[in-house]
Amino acid sequence: MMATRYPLLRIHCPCAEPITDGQDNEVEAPTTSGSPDTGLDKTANLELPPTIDNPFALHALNSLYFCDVCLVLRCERCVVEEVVQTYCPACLHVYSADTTAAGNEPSRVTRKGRGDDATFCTRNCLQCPLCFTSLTMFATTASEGSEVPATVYLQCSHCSWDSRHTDRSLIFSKHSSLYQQVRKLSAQRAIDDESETHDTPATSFGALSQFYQRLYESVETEEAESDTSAPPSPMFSKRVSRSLETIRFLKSHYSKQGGPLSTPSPAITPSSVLGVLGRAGGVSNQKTREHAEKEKERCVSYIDEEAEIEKVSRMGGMTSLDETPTLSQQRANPFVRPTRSSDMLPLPTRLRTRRAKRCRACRHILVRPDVSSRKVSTSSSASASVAGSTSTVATAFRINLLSKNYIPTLRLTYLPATSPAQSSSPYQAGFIPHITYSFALTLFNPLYEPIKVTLASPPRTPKHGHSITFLTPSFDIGANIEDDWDLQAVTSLRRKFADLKMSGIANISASSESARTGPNLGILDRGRNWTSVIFEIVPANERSSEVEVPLFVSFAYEAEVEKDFGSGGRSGESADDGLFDKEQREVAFWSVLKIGRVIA
Amino acid sequence: MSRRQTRGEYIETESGNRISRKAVILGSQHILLGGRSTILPDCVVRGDLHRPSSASASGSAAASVNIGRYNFLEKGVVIRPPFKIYKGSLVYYPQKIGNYVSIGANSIIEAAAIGSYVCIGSNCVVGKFAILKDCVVVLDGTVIPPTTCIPPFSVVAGNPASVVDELPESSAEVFERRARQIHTLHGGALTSTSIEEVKQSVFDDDVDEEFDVA
Repeated sequence: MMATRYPLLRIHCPCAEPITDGQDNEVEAPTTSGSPDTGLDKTANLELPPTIDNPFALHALNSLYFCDVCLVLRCERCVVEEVVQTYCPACLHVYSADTTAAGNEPSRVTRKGRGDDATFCTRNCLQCPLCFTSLTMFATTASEGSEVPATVYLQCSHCSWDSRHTDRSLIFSKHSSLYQQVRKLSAQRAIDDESETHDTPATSFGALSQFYQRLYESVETEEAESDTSAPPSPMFSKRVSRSLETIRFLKSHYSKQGGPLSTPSPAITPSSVLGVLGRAGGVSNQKTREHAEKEKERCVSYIDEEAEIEKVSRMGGMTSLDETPTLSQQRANPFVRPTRSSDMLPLPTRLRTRRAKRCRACRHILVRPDVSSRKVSTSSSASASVAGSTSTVATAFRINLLSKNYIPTLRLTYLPATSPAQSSSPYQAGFIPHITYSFALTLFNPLYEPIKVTLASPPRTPKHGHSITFLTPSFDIGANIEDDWDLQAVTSLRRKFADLKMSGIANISASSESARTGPNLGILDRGRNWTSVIFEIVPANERSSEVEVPLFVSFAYEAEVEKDFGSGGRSGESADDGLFDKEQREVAFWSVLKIGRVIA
Repeated sequence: MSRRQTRGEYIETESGNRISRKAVILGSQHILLGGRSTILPDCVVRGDLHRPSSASASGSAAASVNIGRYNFLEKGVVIRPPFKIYKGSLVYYPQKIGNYVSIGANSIIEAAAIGSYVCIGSNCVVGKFAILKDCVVVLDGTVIPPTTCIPPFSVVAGNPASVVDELPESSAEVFERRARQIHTLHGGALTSTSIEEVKQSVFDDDVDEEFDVA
């Protein structure tokens, strides 16, 4: 694990908190009338959110989204995902794509194929069973005159696994749809290996669905019977009612799926399960008990002794552990259960998805990949391995509401004091207790409107009691005009702070007298769309405690919203204003600044 | 720390590329640099490994190594075009690297194509004809087998490489901004010694730059 790099900013998402009225406000306040009040309330009380210490409630700015209808940040957990596109990660062939337009209606994904075909690449993308690298296909050219036809074999480019050198020497007759050929092989092998207990996905699914169907029916009849008779023990009834729920759900689920039916394995029947249930619940039912006994006998006879012995003898001939598959290799082959590495078949490649993300509260789309563009892949004609894919995945987005384009970004700079003990940066060196450390916190405004920012933090950190002082809790930041604001500001800032480091903070604040007096108290510097403010920390004497500052940021701005022309003659009156209305908006969030550790 | 010595350490081209004089650049007429890319000392770029037919037919027009803009090749990176035996003779194929790509120290790149916004760690091996799509992070010490394709927005690690994580949608913007910052900062502080320091300084003061992948 890498050590934490300081400083670090994490933004708190309230979605992990128990639902309160605050959460409801956020949900119901797309018109923004309610949100400024909640923001002000929070500032006044400054109540720390209960989950502010939870690592799973704190997110990096770059992984957050911003819903511009609800005006709140949305983390990975408070968005709803929907699949827009499925594609093969190996050949990048697009299997299904969302056909709807960019509108807000739910996506309709057209899928080709069902079941397995919708989850695996059905072309020639197969993975090495040993190292999961995608296999390369080679063709042996048919030498003229000889009776051997042209064949295809697979080779792993990483571990040099070769399909010809496996147990049954896999050689394919044609070089298309290798996936289907391998599937057929694996089904065949399953039947060969264990004639009675074959366990292919299709058969086991059919067995399960039939089993639950019958269980459901028998339980229903039992229920009807027990209604008339005396009530069974409460424990039993509770259990049955719970399992009934499960069974009903499963039944509806399976009937929708409609898997192929086959005979269930004889060992378990609905009545046998009920028998077990009944015994556990203390209900003595002579008939079910007898039945259970019978089933037990059948279970014992069900084990094929010869096959087991053969398996053991086969394993006795092994010379090293490498001949047995590792756990991860076995897990990739759940239905074949190979005992030897050379038994394993190439694996199909699972498809990957591109997903759109919606706000959980208002269902507004936050992220939507652009699937329509047939962007030519960056690979040139040289890439022979992916040649021929007609439609490949693109990486563009149609909608992408990233939080960093909607909320001010923060930058922290250490302002060294004149005393020699503080000359080195405390991020790595650590903090010495009871010494005042000054930092410049610079906020950049990414919006095209000027914003009014209010910062707040508890006077002492909740965990360790480091005292925090913000000299300027509230200030304005100008609008962001050009796109390259970032770089210019950063370079000029960096130069400025380099000077600061030379001369020390005391001199600077003395020279810029405005920082000490009047309305600009505590404002170190400001640019077109950024403002630097000073804040101070006095670490408490608590050895190796982390210096982290909970910081509440709230900002307000006047947004221009498109006028609603649908609502009567209002539009005619304010023609001089153009097409936009002014609207006051306020956004607020908690964040945690992790700055370093205290050294004793 | 004489200034004269340090000034000449890098060659700066018209389009803003900075190439260390200690880097080994072979067959420069077959190398295309998009601009504002940086090549640190001890890098090897094998432009001389090109398709034989291209030399005779169209002269220097065909590039064997095509490197985009704002790329950053750290110390000891080896870029060599992939080859295979085609019709009985050994043929090199052109190699393309997109924009905003950073490649960590001592990594060996033999990929056919690397997309944009790709971050390759140090001591990685990218095998022949591998394809890295846009927005990919390759963690330190990863071995990407030949002819592998890494889908967009993946984090890969291990030997052989496997996808271990997904990147957020903001990755392209983040990588672009990082690459631009590294370029500007490097320009100011392009002295001999501590490249690592320059790289680190990009991230140190920026609390908003934190970008977890591991």
